[in-house]
Amino acid sequence: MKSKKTSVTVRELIDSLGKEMKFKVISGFKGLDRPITAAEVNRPGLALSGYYKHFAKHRLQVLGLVEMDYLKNISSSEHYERLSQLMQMRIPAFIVARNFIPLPETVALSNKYNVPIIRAPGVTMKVVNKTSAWLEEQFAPSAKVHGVLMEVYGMGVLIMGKANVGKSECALSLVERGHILVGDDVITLKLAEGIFVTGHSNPTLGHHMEIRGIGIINVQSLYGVKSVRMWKHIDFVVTLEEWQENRNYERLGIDNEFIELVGVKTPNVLIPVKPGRDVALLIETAAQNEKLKKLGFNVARKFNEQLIASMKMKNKAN
Amino acid sequence: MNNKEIIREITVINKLGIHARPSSMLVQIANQFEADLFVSHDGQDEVNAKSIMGVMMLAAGQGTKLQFRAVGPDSEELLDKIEQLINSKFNEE
Repeated sequence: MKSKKTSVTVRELIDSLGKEMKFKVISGFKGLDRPITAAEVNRPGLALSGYYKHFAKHRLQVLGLVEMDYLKNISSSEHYERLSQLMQMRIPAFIVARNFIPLPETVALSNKYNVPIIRAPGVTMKVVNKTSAWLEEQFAPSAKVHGVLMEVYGMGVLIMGKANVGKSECALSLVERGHILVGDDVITLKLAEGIFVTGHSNPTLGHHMEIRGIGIINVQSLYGVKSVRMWKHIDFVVTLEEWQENRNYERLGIDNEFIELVGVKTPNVLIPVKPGRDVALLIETAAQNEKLKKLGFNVARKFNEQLIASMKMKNKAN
Repeated sequence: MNNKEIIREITVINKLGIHARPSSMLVQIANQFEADLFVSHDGQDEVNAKSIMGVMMLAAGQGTKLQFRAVGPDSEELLDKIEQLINSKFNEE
């Protein structure tokens, strides 16, 4: 179920970031459904001066102080030629930073070629950074998994396992103990900054859960807003499985097992479930243990080192 | 007949002794048998060899002579397996 977006539209950008960045579309409205196919943004300084080779035409073009000042100082024929050239290359849109007011000629061309011009009050670098961060998130590899995502003692725990193994009941138990639910059943995983995995709740499902025998419950209204959040970095996975008599379960915890989530190796703790085992407590303990490991303290390994040292001492004494 | 008790002495020969990993291997084998297994050395209190913490508590280094006591229908077979494991140096060397 892995997927990777290859394009977003200018309209989607405005819908998501418009409020925060105070975007205002001033012209080229017919081009709002133009696709953006690159996660980076470009400052078209060189292209405006007439050098079009290697021009990054798939990117959003951000006009800052330098570009706006330059456009003011070239002749109107040069202005016409350069901007027409750029706009005919099907660039997605221009963002004008610092709320600069584009020349009427620029606006006219934007309407002619249907390339939107968006004004934003932020300073150029801020516009560039915010926009590229958003684009990067859109283009990041993502996947949907079946599981429950919780925050337990600050650690992001993705609980996986077959249907009916008791994931939701266990999550409810954890919420009852004061931990936080991100989402139940369908979790969207995203690769963030190329190294982290984040898990997001499904906007339609929200913080609803289905508990067999009771039906659909809303965790936010039952336990309050402190018990829910929208997304979380995933630190480790807990896989629940029915206890199998002949299987050897981890007894030491010296070696880590891993599972791959959107290409990132993530620690995986396999917990066998059987009546009488308090799975929520086990997950709490696993979360604290993983936290210790993250801080560089592997308890099992440390214990073993002490054991080996004590055996050496005894052998010397004999 | 059904609860045959056998005592066997086995010497630890691997360099690091019975630390965490060997303990877990030993316990894993012991748990596959019906017979109970206990282990002790130097006449100290014996521990249940099906419990990993118990086995590690022995801190049995290289050269330690361990007395295994198996009770149950498959005790002979169990002790053979344990002896094999210890003599294999737990695949460490």
